[in-house]
Amino acid sequence: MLEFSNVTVQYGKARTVLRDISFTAGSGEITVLLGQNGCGKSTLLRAAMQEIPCTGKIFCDKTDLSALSAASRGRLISMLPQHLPAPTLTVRETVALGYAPHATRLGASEWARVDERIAEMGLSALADRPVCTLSGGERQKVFLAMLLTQDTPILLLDEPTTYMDLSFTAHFFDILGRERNRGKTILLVMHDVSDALRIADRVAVIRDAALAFCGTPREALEQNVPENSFGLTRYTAKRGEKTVYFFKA
Amino acid sequence: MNQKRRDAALFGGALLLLLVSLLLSLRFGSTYLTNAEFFGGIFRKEGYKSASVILRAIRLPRMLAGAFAGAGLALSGTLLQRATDNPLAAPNIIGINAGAGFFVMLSLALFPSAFALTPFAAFAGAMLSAAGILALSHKVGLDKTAVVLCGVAFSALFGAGISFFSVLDDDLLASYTGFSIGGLQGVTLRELYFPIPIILICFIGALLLSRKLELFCLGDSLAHSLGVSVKRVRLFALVLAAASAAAAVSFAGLLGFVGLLVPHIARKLTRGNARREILLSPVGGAVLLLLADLFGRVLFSPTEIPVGIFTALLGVPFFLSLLLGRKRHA
Repeated sequence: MLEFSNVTVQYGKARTVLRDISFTAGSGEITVLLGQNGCGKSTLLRAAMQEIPCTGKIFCDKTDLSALSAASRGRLISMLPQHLPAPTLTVRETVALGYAPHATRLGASEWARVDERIAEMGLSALADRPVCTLSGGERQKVFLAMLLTQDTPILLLDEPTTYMDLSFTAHFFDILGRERNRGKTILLVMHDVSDALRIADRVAVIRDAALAFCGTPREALEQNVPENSFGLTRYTAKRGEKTVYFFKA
Repeated sequence: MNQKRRDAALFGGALLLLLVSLLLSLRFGSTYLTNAEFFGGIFRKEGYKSASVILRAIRLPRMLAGAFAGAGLALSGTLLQRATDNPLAAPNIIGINAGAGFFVMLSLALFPSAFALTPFAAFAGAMLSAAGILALSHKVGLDKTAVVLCGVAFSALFGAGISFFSVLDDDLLASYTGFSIGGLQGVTLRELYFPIPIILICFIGALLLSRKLELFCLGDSLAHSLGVSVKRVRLFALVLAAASAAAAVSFAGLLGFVGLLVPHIARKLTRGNARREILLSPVGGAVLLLLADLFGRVLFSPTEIPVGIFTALLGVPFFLSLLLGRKRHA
């Protein structure tokens, strides 16, 4: 569980990026953070990571994250940032870096697990290629595999589907679902409101530096959050018995 | 070839090359010694006093100076390139050269006949300049760009100071030129007592940091996410880099080029693994400087060619061949 309690982030004295944000991303839940560009979603993730200073508190199951050592934090919470590097290390070596905070000596079982993660991302054929030679989408998969290898109870993902093709996005949502069922706390930033409402257990919307909405997808639909917060139009389709909603600008 | 075999071949080869370079550096010089004189001098046999003096008072300090200057500068470059994730980083970006140069100039201006002060002035200048740059970049968050920009600013400032003194006094410029070109001639064992332990300590420190430095190639955000205290590790690495280069500069002068080139060579050969790179880079630096110094002493004997020239002549083709070789394989 990741709990934000009155979190405020300021850049200098003049600019308040986030004001008094309080909500909880539960264990075994996918929480999607929505908002316009530049509204402070990534800033909130970075604050949770203790990467930037903030006032207020951020807890993980009653543990104040700011009180943890860097290594303990690395075993508890991890983040996939928006901008990904292109190291000269191979895919396999990069994914294995996920074990770094656990200070484990990499034995046969750890390497087998690394290979399993790589296979899950469909990257087995590229395992010995340097990451710097891969495309944006492939790199995104490499770092997702690294994050899953790090295997922290809390996962923060900043626009993880940006470079993914549609079929892999569906596979990625399946993986997220599996991790949720393993009891993980997943907080992700997305822009696609239709996908967000479909996969989330809870949706949080940031507008004008404050939390504008936090609730279940059903509540978001009932309160017309996509229409009111993002000016989107709702379309309805039938998939068998089920009603599917999607939103367009 | 699997990784273990590759490592064994790489490090075995590097150590063998180092051993050969050390031996050659001791064996050959501007004075030719026969085999009998060489072994007689080493084992202090009767009748080989002059050979013994040449070997012990001149060649041994020079060999150690070459090995440790190369190792210190290459280690510094590797740490800097890792800590700032910048392939162009070299000891001069944290103001080592400019700081050392300015303080040497200052000591030459204030105490024109006290040449013994030069190594201390160089070390103190390099460390003070690095400390200034680190303190300033710490104020703005110690991110990798801040370090590089503060380094550029400090270097420009000290560079202006050096130019100012050069314009004032031609003699001062002449004395300073020797230091700025860099070289290993005339180094005594006594001059190495202080820098060698510093370089060794920095090497051990760098090895201890290597696991964390490895993650810096993923950028600050991912390194942080993987449980690294990015600012603290960067600061430690930069302090070690500064101390290691300052120690080398104190007795060898401004040989900054080794610190840029050798880390690249080491990185290409170790394929980006930080620990192997930190192990290989000092060995590479030592070999390059020992061989460059040997060629400088022997090829146009008795005229000595400054070691910097042969460092470039030997290092650049090797580096370019690695670069082109990789492009072809890619």
